[in-house]
Amino acid sequence: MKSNLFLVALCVLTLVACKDEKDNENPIISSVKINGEVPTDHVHLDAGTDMVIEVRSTDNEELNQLKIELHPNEDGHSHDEVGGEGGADGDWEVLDVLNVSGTAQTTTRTYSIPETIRGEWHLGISLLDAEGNEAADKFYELDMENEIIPNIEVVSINGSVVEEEVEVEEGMNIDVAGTATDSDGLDEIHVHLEDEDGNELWEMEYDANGETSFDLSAISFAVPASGTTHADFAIEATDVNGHSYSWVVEFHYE
Amino acid sequence: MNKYLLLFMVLLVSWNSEAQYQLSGHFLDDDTRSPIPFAHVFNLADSTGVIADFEGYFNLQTEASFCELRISCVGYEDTTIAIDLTEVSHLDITLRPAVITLIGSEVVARRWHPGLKYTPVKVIDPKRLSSGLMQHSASIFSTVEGVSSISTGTNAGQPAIRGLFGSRVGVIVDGVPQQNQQWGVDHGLDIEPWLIQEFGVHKTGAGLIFGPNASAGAIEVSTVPKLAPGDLFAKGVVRGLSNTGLVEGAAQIGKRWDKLSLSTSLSMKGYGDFALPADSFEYLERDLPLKDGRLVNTSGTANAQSLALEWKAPVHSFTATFRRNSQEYGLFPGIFGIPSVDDLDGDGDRRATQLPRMTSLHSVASLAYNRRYNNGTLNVIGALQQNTREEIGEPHIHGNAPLPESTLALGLKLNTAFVDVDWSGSNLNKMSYFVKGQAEFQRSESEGWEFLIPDYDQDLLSVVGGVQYDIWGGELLGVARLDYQRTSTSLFEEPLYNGNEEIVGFWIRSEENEVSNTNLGGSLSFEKSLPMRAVLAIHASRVVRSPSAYELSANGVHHGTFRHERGNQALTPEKGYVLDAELKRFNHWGINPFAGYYSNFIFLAPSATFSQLPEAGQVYQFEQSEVMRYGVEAFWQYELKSYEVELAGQYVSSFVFEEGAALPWTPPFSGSIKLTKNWQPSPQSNIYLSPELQITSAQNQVFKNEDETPGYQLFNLSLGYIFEAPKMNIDLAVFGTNLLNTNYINHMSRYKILDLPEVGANVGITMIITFNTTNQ
Repeated sequence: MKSNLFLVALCVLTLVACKDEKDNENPIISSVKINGEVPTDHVHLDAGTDMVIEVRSTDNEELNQLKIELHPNEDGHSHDEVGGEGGADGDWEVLDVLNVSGTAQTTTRTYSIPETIRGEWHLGISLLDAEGNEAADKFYELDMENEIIPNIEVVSINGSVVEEEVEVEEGMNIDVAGTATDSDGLDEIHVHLEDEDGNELWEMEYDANGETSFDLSAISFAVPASGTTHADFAIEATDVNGHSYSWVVEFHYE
Repeated sequence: MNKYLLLFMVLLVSWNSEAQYQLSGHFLDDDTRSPIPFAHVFNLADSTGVIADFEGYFNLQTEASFCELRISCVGYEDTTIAIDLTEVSHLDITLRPAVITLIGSEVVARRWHPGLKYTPVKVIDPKRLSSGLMQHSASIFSTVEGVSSISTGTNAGQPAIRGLFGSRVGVIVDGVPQQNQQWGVDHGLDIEPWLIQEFGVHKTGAGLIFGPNASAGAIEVSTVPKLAPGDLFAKGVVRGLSNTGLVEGAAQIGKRWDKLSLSTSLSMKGYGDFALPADSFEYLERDLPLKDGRLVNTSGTANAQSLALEWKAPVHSFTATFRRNSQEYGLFPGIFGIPSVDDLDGDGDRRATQLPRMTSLHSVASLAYNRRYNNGTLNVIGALQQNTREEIGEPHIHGNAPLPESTLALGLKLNTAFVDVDWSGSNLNKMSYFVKGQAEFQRSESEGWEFLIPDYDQDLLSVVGGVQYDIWGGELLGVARLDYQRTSTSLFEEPLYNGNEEIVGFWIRSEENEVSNTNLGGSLSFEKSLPMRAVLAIHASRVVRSPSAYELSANGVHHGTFRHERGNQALTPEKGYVLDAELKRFNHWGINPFAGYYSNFIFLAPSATFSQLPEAGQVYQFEQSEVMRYGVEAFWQYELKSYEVELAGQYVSSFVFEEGAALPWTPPFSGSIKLTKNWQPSPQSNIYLSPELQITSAQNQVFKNEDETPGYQLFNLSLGYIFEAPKMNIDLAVFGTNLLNTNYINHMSRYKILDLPEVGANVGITMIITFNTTNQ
């Protein structure tokens, strides 16, 4: 009895399985070019310029959507073939979903790299066909170089490497080690401390006199009282062209 | 002449009186020793019968000196006894509800609904689970062939019956369908496993009794201890697991006076971060590190309380229950987007729970009334439930939207009212029947700065009827069910902002919609006893399930499945035709093949579009397709002196016709071999050692974009001590799972998407102490 039942089931399965099946073959991202060149693992780009991305997509039946995504690598994560040390300033992100069609299409998109970013970015490209089959993603590491805005490198505060926050107490002396640089010349360095409610606790301006480098060891002050447990300590460098860049760390009052 | 006639009549009367045999009897409940009123006694010798009275007594007169009595009573197992009336004139007869005996274990009992009498049912004594090869409560049910558990989080899971789960598998606790699947399929069970007195698994046909949400099967659980008058019952459980540092304890106490009984329970547990044999994982194509092999922020706590009050008289009984289950656990970093490497460092405290985290509270209050009549039983159950779930995280911005002020990402609240009125009747002879009416009303609300599912109302009204008839040397049962379901979902518009945080438009995440369906389902079952105590049961059913509110209108990133899930308002009621056959010999061996054809099976399939939400990847949308599913479960058990051998295996195959592929999440073939050696140092105690090998094959039956998984073998070992005295039991087990520390991917785990392996070597201990004193 049992075997008969399964024979019937098997026949039904076989008959209906003869119907046309949907496409289960994945599309392919055949080639990617950045600014006209096939990218290597690391691509060097300049802030303030245009980035032209050209993607060649193919599918056995019908393409549907292409996604181009750009995000900063602030934390040092990686994507298989993409390595990366991490470190990115600025919050430029791109999520561009584009319709594509046919069995082969070349898509070209131009993105203006903001003047305010610097560091490591990741470019991800994904592709779907009309049946939802997914291509193997492509990832590239982009080194965003910036000659427009000043750069600030803080080596230490009170001799310690700066991490997420700095433990401080009222009256404690703060000594900064590091440099601010700009190829066009720095105009001024503005340093200030602001509590969580936005109240200015302390500030100081230093004249950089158009020099291309400023020694941050000039910054030294006693931590003022604060009504809140946290305060933002910011160093803002402005160059002679009016471009500025801020470096911020959180002070935690013990 | 008159004198002779008178003498003849006197002789005739005296001869007749000598030929009449009398039997008196008293029916008692085997669990509680309470009288059972209105049981039916049918004398096969002369085809006559009587009905027991209100107090369970009966008197039978017959001319046959030797008879077979077939005894039936709604809610109890039918039985036939042979009796020599020349030697016996009175019997005390104990009846047990639907009894299944387990090899090497005690008899456990359960009152199955008559409409499920012929469906494949397996009952496991939860005491056997003290060996505790489980990480979460759903996994206790996977000791039954055909049932697996889907890991939906590090300490959460839900049962799958033959590879189907979520809104297709009902979990019925004390007669009330549990609500927790309305917000997607990943939410774990809100049941404290140690409070389970007994459970059964209905692999097919359950949807006709418990509703469309049990269309693929149901797990029935009872939590109220069965107590006889004078009983005092107490149970304590402590348990620990090495992998997460889990520590839990549970206590239950119950007392029955004459007709009144009261029981209450309390349980608590806490656990630390999950440890895995891996040092990295993949999330949306990003390779991310696992510090010290731990999933940071997956620690949590859970606690549960219950109270039950019962009043039992021979004819009436009332049962009032209240259960409350709360959980709080951390959500793996990145649950609200892609995790950063810094997030994965954690705070160094394995047991602390940081943001993001989830809290849930499930409360159920029910009142049941049972009234026995001489021709049947009336059961009425009413229940109110509330499910709340909050996902809390650091606010983040979508597009140009202003930063939310609250940490409440998603708040969901579901209120459910449920009523079930059931009449089960029988006559003395060949037929019994039942009729049932059910109503369920749901109201769901959501809030927070994330969106998953809109507010919705759902009403379900049902009538069910079934007739059982003795025919062809077996029993034939037909059941029909008519459902009317109305689902109304609200409009949800998400504001879109420009760079100045001004609203410039709206994204309609969910359209306002109302859907109503009337569905007719039914089944035909036949069961026949065969020689050598074998039983053959065949069950054919048509199951119909209306799409859920989630399947119709969800549109957001589901934090449990790590992807954007979208409903489909064009879905129509899912219709399936399932054939199930079970052949088993008691509990020595059994084989249970099944096959099902669905004309429009609802499942979540990858769409051809990308999500517009940040860090969400491809959109998965509910679709319908013709689907065939088939498979088989088999078991074999053998005892030889002090040794026991258990073999079990299960296989499911599925086929989506239009795709030429399997359904997503089809479980791979799996089997187990368990050998137990018992020692009995004294008549009251038993020591056992049980090595077990679990074998799971590679799964190549996958849907598009679903990863195949390799096969693996796991070695488990249990060492236990059982002490059973009249008033006290001790059950102590030390156990280890995956002792060879095999690195494997569970095809049925949500964490498969992250390419995360399952738990490595895990050692645990469980101790259960039970006291039961009685004055009988």
